[in-house]
Amino acid sequence: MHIAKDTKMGDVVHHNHSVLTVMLRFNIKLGFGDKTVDEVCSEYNINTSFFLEIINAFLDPNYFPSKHLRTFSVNLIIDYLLKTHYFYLTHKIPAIECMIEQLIKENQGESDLRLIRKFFKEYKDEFINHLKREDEAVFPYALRVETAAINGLNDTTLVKQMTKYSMNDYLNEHDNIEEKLFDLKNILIKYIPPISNQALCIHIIEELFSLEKDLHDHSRIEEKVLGPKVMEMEKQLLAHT
Amino acid sequence: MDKVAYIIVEPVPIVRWALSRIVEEQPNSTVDKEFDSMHRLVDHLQKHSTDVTIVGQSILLGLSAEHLKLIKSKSKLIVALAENEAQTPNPLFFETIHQHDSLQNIQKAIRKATCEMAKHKDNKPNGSALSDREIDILKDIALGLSAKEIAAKNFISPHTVITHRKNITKKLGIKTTSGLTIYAVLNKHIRIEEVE
Ligand SMILES: [Fe+2]
Ligand SMILES: [Fe+2]
Repeated sequence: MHIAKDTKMGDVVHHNHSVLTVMLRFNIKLGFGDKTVDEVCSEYNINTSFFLEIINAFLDPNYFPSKHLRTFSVNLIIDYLLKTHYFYLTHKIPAIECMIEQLIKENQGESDLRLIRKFFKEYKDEFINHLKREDEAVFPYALRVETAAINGLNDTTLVKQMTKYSMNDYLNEHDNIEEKLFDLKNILIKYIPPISNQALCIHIIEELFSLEKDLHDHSRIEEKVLGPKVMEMEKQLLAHT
Repeated sequence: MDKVAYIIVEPVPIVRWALSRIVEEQPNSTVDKEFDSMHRLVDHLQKHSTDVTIVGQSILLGLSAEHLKLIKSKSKLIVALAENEAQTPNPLFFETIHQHDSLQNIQKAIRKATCEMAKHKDNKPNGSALSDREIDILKDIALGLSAKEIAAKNFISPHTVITHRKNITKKLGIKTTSGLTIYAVLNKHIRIEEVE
């Protein structure tokens, strides 16, 4: 099922409730009654077609009209990416962290489990660095490129920057932050000692799967939508100098 | 075990969709890529390979020997979707299914291909226990030694250390050093005090 603008927002959630976290990022609150996607979006001042592209790409990995997503402004795309970062940092990571803490607390006898906490702590540090670099360097740069593409290139430092570190360099070194999650999942699935609170373990594994999927969708927007779009602008700007 | 990966090449969207759907519904099977034309498939196969390729009927009709060779070299099995039974089955095809086949027959053919591939996959050093040598190397990795140090300690070349590590990763499904460390501790190859 592809979501259209006249689909009822409630039906979207019934179809696949994992979209709730996407709605959270757009700051849409529950209780939408029988309102359609379009109605809810206009209520919250959200660009409906952008919302639809994001939701559909999130729901169906094969639905990826990256060409269509590229028609939206860098500003709009980055706004969503930033909101997603914020969602990871304030919801996803703390939730997993908290459950791992509980796992250790409940199994004091299994002192080896402490290593799982250490592993996740290392992961979290790497993760935060990755996001920070995008928030503080990559995204502001992309926005400057867009501004120049609209208002003309009157920023000489930007030309220097474009030749020194461009979007292409970012894409080349953009690393796969899902990889380490895969290890953690596998350790919990295959190698953890038989602890009594299986429900907790399952919950952690579910959260890891969900974060992994989410990150995959996120990186795809960074690499297949934002990256190429900015590179296109860089090319045009450099051609004019 | 990794799922058996399929590529589907078929110009008619609804047929491609149906095939993809059927493959995804079978155990251990997943669709890696879908293409609507032979030249798109050729582009892809220049750089990638796959387990099973399903070739649609109109593609089949215009398939040159050269292209067939390419598909054969880049995928381990070929399943053909033929127009009707009259079309002579090519021995290069692992299975030939027909448009008018019952859904069950098509599902069966896909499952058969997946099983065949799974056999190949199991023959590789995959999913089996670590050898004693690998356990030694694993311990050293977990203790934080570099490939060079491990090589010197065990009188082997750094290249061999890397090969061992690759095999360990493949067998355990753990890529990172910190992940391997947890495995080594949980399995009592080393004590937690040694790494904390
Ligand atoms: Fe990001
Ligand atoms: Fe990223």
